[in-house]
Amino acid sequence: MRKKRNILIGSISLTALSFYFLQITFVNTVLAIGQNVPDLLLILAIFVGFRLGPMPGSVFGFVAGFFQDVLTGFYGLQALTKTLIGFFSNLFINQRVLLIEKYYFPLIVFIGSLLHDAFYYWFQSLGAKLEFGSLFIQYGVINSFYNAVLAFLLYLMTPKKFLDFVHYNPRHEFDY
Amino acid sequence: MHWKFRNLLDGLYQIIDIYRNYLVLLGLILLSVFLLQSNENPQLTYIRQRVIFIAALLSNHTGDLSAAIESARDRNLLRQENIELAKRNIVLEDAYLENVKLRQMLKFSARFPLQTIPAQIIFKSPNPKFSTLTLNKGSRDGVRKRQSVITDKGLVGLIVAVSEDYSECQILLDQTFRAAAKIQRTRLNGIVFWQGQPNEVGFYGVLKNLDVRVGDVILTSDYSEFFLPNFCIGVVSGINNEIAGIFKDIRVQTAVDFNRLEEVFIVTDTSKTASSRSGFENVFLGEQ
Repeated sequence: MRKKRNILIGSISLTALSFYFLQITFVNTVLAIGQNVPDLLLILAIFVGFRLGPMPGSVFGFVAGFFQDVLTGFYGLQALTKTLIGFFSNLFINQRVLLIEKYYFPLIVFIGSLLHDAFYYWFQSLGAKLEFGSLFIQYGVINSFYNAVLAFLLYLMTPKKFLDFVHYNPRHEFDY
Repeated sequence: MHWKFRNLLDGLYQIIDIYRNYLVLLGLILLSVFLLQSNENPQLTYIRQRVIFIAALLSNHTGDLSAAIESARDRNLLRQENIELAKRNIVLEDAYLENVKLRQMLKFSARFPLQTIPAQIIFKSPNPKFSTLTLNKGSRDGVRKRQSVITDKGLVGLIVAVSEDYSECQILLDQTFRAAAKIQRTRLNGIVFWQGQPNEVGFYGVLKNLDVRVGDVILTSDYSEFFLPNFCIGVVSGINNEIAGIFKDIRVQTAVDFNRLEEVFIVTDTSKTASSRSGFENVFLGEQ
């Protein structure tokens, strides 16, 4: 059981690491539409929270966010937002929605991204001459949509074996 | 004791286990906030300002609350203090007034050519038919019957009864009181008696054709059997010629205010020669 858990943690960490580097190299440049850039780590944080429970989701969100903060030099903001999104994304799942997870997950990513960006841009607008509304619509909504599309594509690309391995546990316990 | 401690720990573990998700979330949020605080940027400066503002606002309101509680306590204390001070003030005011009176009496006593004993009124008889004052001086102090009782303003009455320690003074405002008197300005003689009005006596025996004016001073006469001459009785306050008979109806406002009377002098010197000295009456009149 411990081995399985280590494999799970390892695989998610590896995915996260690859997503991280993908984000800073490929996504930020090639996949960027104007200034709109999808957030791979946010999608992964929602997935972890969605599938594994609020605690893994929040811990993963925090760690992933912290590493993104390192890039911007603004420590704590991404960590905080991703922690919250990772935690609360689990509220949207139950046994029934797993049947339509392929479509449901992108929707959750869209909502989660909206909330994430709302908080993120609201915070950015504090004390600065930036309008939260225009920031949110210009970047937040489009980014969220972009994230949802990408989440759908990633979900389709994810091996079924991995999805079965990272299965949903309503008791939010590592029973591996 | 040991098993109780174990139970406590077990309970604590259970609580942590139940709420671990939330505890982890809380820990991560705190950590994020801690990280946020390490930044120096306008957003954080703004947030810090808001937090400080809210904290100041809250502390201001809690300060108001505590100030209100303190002020309520202070108010009670101040009320008590106020009552105490009011009490003290009454005592001091009393002492001040007494002091003023005593000074006046002392001055009068020093100026007065006759020997006097100061006395305090300890009782006022409420009987209108026989108005008397009980004084705290008696035969031991040299008080005798028929001695005059005066104040710095004028005549009060006559000692009518004496015990060892107390004496009784019949005042002007008594139905049986009579005194021979004169008008200072014209030296017209008459008799003073009470007509039933407070602080007012009648002056009887002046013919209608004689000169009397409102404001004339009435003094005890040289013909008085009991009183020494030239004690001030009062001032003419009203004259009425429209009455039957040959005499004027003259009303005299007493020099002494009997309602406020507290201390008097008993004149123990009955030497008429001394009291008749020139200018003696001015002792009273000078103060009016």
